[in-house]
Amino acid sequence: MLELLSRLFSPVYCDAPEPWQIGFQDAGSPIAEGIQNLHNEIFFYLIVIFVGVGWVLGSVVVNYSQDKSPIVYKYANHGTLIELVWTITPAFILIAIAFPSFKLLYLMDEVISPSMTIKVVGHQWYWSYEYSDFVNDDGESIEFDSYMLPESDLEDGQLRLLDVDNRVVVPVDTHIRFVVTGADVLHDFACPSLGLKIDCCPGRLNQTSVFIKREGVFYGQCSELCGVYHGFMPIAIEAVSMEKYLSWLDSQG
Amino acid sequence: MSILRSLPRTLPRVATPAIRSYASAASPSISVTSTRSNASAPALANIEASWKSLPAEEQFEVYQQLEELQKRDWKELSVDEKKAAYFVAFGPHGPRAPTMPEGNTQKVFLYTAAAVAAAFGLFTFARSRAKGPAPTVTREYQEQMTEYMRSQNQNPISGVSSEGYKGKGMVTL
Ligand SMILES: [Cu+2]
Repeated sequence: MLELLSRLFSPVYCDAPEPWQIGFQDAGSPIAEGIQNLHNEIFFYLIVIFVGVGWVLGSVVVNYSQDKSPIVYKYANHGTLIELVWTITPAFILIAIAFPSFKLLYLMDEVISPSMTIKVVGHQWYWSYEYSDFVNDDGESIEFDSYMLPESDLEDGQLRLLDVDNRVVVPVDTHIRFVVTGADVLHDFACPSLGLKIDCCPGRLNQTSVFIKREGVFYGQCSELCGVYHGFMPIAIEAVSMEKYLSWLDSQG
Repeated sequence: MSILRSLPRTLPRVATPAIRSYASAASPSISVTSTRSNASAPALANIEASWKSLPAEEQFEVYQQLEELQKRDWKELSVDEKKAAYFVAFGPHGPRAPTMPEGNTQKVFLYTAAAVAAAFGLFTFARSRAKGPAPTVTREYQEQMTEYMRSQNQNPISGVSSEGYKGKGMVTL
């Protein structure tokens, strides 16, 4: 039934990350795990609030209907106790949400002694990457551009609008620092399963760190509207073992 | 508010519907009848039904009578008086009269259905002129995509590459 509806009404055919996915992608880094935990934690309060507000609204609708209470008690317009209750309770709920939220925010903000640095530059409409810690045979740092694969070049199940010609290859279990900027307009370097999202501002360097816990390919998309092909400059981060990473570096020489 | 100007200064400037519906009456002569609670009861009983047929002067009289009544302890008001006071202040008359006579739900429903149908037609037209689905939207390619994602170890905790995965992966067709 849902599939029938989707085929009737869906103006775009969803084919990635997974069809009809409504939850998070599986976490690949401690930060993504933290974000998903915070989401679940806040959801607990959301349910409490939903039940409380729903109960109040529902009981008003049921008990003060036209039939049960034809004369509205129109002069009941002030009650100090109830006002105190409904002011102070939300304040406590907000505090309970704010503490874990700030804790995570400042943990994510910290870039602690990274083992390697990758520079990311957003262009209209592709990404370019520079591995300044490594040099090739000519003594220049490794750099390359990363374009989306056009529809006509897709083969063997490559993901449309997500796969790129040159992936960012990184080692697992390594503290990696991304230094990001924009070459022309604002872009945003993002990867949901790594909990990564950072603006690329022209004339400014932003930094963030990521620690990938498992091998795999992690897809993201530019997340700041940057022009007509904003939707066609995906990010593909490939996490590999250290040995594979070193041989990839060699092949870049 | 021409109606307020036509009223004597002594009236409190509360623009209740009773006064507004009084607007058409030319220079009213107001005589505040001091009524007792029990004496007013028959006149006020079932005011909802009789209100519209009352001439404007009498509506105003009832309104004033109720105002006087409400200056005293409300707990001593009879149910009829309470109901009348509520109806005059908040009932569906004057500016609060329903904009549409009853029994027009069918018309509303038909017009709404027509609008929805028109919107759906427009949508269908736009869809019929749009480009077809991408070449990747075939069952064969979707199966390939699932295999490709498995080979890349994607979503290994709960998704396609997870142990004992039962879903259909990328296959939607
Ligand atoms: Cu963009």
